[in-house]
Amino acid sequence: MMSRISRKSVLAFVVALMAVPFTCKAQGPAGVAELKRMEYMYPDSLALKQQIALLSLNYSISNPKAEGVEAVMGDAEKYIRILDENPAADPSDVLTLKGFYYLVRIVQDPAVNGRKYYMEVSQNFDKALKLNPENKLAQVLQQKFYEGMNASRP
Amino acid sequence: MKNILSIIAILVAASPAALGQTRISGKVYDDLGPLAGVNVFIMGSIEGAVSDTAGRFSFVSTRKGEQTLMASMLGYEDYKKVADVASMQDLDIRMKLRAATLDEVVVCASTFSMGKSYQFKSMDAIDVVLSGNSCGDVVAAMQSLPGTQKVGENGRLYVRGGESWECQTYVNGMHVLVPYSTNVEGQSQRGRFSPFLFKGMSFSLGGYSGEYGQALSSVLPMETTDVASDDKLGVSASLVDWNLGGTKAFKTSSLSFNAAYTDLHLYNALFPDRVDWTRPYGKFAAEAQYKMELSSSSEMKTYTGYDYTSVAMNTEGRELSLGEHNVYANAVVRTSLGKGYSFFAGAAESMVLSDIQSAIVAGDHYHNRRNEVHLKAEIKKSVSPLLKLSAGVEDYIRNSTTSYEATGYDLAYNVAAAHLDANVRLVPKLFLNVSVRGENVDYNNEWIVMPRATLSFVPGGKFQTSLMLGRYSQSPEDDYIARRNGKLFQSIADHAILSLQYSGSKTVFRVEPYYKKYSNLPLLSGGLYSSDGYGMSRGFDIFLEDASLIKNLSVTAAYSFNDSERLYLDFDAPRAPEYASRHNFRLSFKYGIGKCIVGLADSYASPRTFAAGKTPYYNSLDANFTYLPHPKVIIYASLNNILGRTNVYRINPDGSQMAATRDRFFYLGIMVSLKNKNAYDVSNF
Repeated sequence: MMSRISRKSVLAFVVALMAVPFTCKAQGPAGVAELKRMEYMYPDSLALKQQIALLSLNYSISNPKAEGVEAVMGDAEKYIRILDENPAADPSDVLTLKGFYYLVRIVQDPAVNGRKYYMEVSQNFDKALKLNPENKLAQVLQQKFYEGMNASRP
Repeated sequence: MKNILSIIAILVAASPAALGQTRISGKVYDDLGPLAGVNVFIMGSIEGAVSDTAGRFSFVSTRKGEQTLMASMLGYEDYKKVADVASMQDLDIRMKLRAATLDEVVVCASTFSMGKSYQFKSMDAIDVVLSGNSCGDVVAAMQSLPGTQKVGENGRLYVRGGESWECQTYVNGMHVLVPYSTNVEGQSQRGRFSPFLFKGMSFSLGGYSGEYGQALSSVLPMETTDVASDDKLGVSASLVDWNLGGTKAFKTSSLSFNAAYTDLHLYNALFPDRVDWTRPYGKFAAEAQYKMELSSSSEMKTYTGYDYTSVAMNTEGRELSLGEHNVYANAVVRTSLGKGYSFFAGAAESMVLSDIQSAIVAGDHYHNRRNEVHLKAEIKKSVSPLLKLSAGVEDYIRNSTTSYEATGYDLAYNVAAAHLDANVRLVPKLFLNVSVRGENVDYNNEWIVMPRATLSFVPGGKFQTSLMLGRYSQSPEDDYIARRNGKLFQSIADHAILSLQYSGSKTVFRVEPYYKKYSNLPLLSGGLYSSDGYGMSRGFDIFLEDASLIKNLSVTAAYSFNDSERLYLDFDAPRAPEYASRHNFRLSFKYGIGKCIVGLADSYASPRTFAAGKTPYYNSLDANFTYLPHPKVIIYASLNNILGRTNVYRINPDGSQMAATRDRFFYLGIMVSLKNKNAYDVSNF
């Protein structure tokens, strides 16, 4: 019985996850909110936590000064920490999210946070790619990061 | 008319009720008013909405009958309401702030943290370098903080009325016997460590927990950076020092080296001072680090540093010549054992060899060798979000040899210690750290038990109030132990500190009154030292940092009032120690313009009292300028004491004055990354 319930739950979760792009029509905080509702349904899902962190960071980097962005960044930080503490989470993905988090912080206030966090960004992406050289998100973000740094040359 | 009726009919037919749907609506509040950004939804579905700036929410649900409505927001307790969906209209939802757990609260009373820790911040490594007159020296940068005193004749850290030896330095949790490089009297001693070695520094001015011992007044724990992820190679050069460093990164480890040479020949030739140098100050230093990630939850760090300092000058008809070898090495392992347990173990070796020719009279020779092995192990257990425990043991194995002409001593002793520490959330917003530290000193078989406690009220993210009480001990310096009269007990300091602080996004403010009572201080009588000395130090520190006035402008103000007196060493009656000044004030500005950062700082210290008189007040107006011409190049310049005031550091017994040997100091340096894909990374470690 237990195994049948378990299989059913897994199947439901997979279906729900596949439906994310369709159900989460809302972007930004509303999209994050929808994912968090799903997370209440599947509290053990690491993939959902990763999606929440990623969507939060995506919103924040596009709206770095928006009202309420600190709450969204707070969510991102919370879910990255949860993933970081879970040995089942892919370390390369977690490092990518960490690098992304600090990248957003730089975009929010380049003058102050640039020098404070650039090492965090660089090292996290480097480590992510060392662990998994095929990590596409880390590759893209790292490339964007260096393009941004080069653009800041006088 | 028919058309209008048709439209109304379509709208009615399309309404939620007609579609078998229910509209759920209401407002969300907290104690301060409407709350925006709250996720309100039906449990087990994705039907929901996020509250707007007026706290309003509204959404349509297809659910029927009894359902659970959930309202959720970071920092608040989840709100749940079980009711029939049909009744979920015009709801008033009141959210309660969630009380922080131990993981979410960092009590930072009496501590200044540098780096990226979530604490009361004021500086990072770059700030240390750019700090007014620090010229990249950690110790000098710390002297911009309240609670420290300006003692120009040696440049060491003096905290809240305490002697310089009462402040102890730790690297990766391991003790450093001599954190300063040596110099002749009247010249500032620089800290031995580059700020770029460290990812975090935590300067505690008192009230620290049981983990730290053998420090009466303050501790400066510093944590080196983690395993490097890419290769680096860099050089730096200035009028006084030259540096080459690099890192080789491996998959899970990295090996770093650094070599530095400091020489004041060139500088003294360009800008002569009031000293007749026969061998201007010179220092060679080499460092290496190997760091390894043993697993995803374990790491090992090693550090080895060596430096040799040499300087000679003509003074009072003799050539005073000084040379010192200084070795420091440590290795630590940290690992997470699972189930909330973590383990730390480390070993450190400090050795200092000093030789002084013509130390007191022409032709004499003073020799000193000091050695310390520090062993430490600690286990931590996170019992729950409301309780954390730690326990540790450590051992300081020390020996020293001193000879001066026909006199001298050989000394060997051991200080063993253990501590227990508990962090507990008593009730929401009220946190208690309680610890007990026990120490045994074998040269007189003395046992000491020292209770310490910090009670903190943390009502929200920005305010924090703490009361700290504790007992601290430290062995007297070796010279005093060697010349003890009977039992020379460990010196004791009892701390009482009240801390009130506000930490906003652009403004931080802190006020800390304190009282310290000293006992068992070494007192000289009949040529031998007893433990009959005592003293007290009281005062308050104020710190304000603000970045909200003008964009890119940061203003820092630090004021300290100190009233202290003690009977110790060769004092014949209780009086204010000579290093203590009653008022210390520092105001600094830092402004960023494009690729430049401009800094201006003024430091003031009130007169110091000596047996033969008082010094004039100390004042120094300093400026610094940083230019970033290229992401791999940093140019830094500073001018200390722009006004050229001749600051007096001491009144000698004959009434003469010991003044600064030069009125101004100009520093110009360039840092270049040769192989490093990171911009503005002057750290080769």
